[in-house]
Amino acid sequence: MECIICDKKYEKNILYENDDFTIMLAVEPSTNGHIQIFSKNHYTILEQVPDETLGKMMAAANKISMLLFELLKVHGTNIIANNGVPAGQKIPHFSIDIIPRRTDDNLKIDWALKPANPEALDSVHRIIEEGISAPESKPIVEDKPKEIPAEKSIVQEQQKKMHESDKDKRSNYYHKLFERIP
Amino acid sequence: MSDEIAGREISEEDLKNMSPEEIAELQKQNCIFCKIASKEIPAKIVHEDENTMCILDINPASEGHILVYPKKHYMILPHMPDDAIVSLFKSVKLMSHTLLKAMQCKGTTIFIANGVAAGQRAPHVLIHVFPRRENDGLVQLPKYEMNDEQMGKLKSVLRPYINQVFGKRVKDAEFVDKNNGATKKTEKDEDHRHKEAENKEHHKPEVGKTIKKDNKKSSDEKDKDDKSTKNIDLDDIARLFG
Repeated sequence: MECIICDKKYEKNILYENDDFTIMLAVEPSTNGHIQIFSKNHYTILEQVPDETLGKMMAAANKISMLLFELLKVHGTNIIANNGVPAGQKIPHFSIDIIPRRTDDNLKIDWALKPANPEALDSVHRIIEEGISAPESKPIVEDKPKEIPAEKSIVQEQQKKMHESDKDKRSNYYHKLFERIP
Repeated sequence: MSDEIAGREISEEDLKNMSPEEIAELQKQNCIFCKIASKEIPAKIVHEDENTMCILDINPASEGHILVYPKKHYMILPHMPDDAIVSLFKSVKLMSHTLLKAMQCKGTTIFIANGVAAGQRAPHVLIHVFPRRENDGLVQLPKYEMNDEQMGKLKSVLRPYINQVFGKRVKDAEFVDKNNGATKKTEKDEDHRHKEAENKEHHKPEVGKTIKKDNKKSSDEKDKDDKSTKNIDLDDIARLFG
């Protein structure tokens, strides 16, 4: 698969790379000092990145953010992962952006504080709780995540469920999904 | 109760005389997110584990906006040790995944603000995770034009320090040699700084170990991961790229 990051089209931007991630000057910078961290392996979106790699990328993002404070004397940093096309992700290779901010930069990256309607909040709460308690998401928070990678356990759990029966059809996200496909 | 009393009785003068530790303790006592974590204040909790809280933001950027944060009081992300960040982002990934299916959106944004200039509004580390939809007008990143000269300058400022933080790479040897003078001067400061950081965090050796483990694992797991995502409609989301 062609990928401008994997194919090193922006090699001149690279600041550092190891087996987990590549740190580079942003391909399309938003402010002076904008850095991007790309996973070394090709993952398109966040959900495909293994927990361990994601953790390392974030810890690195935090260190870069600290460096920007010290070296560029910026007043703040935004660490952003735009995940998916509607979120404005432009390169189909997962990245974390570290954007230096200055008090006078007049950027409106964040959103207006608008209190939610309590009823709407209640209904969203219900929907999300149901989503989390759906069978396949449980293993992610199990006690020994290191031994059993989360992604793998999702699949195992899911396959088991699939084979067992259609008993919990209501709460099963995949069934809902498949039902919708004509 | 004691929190309220502490909040009322301390004057500005007292604050000036307090040690940073005492001020941190005071902030912790008055932190709304710590109180939510200890269930003193109610909130719409969608998920929690030993170290992490996931609650609905009452001022959502979009419907389904979740705040993921550590139960332990850290004011800013740089205060957090690596292992705490790793554990926090497991929950972030879970929440993003949950939003994709529960809210039926095709994208999410993970957003962190470090410092008031970046839009940080609470003195507790918060990771915002919210659903994104086409043309929702959220998190619009502007374009900043940079020429090669500016980029070169930026690289020469950042690279030696990045190499010190993450360890030198063979590839960069030439570059480091050229700047040897500059890097040597700063090495002491850097070392000092890192020692401080290590003392606080006590995790550096572990990080080294996990990196080695991961290298072995990652190639094996990569295939499995690819397979696992094929079952989910994540591929559809990933395939949206033209």
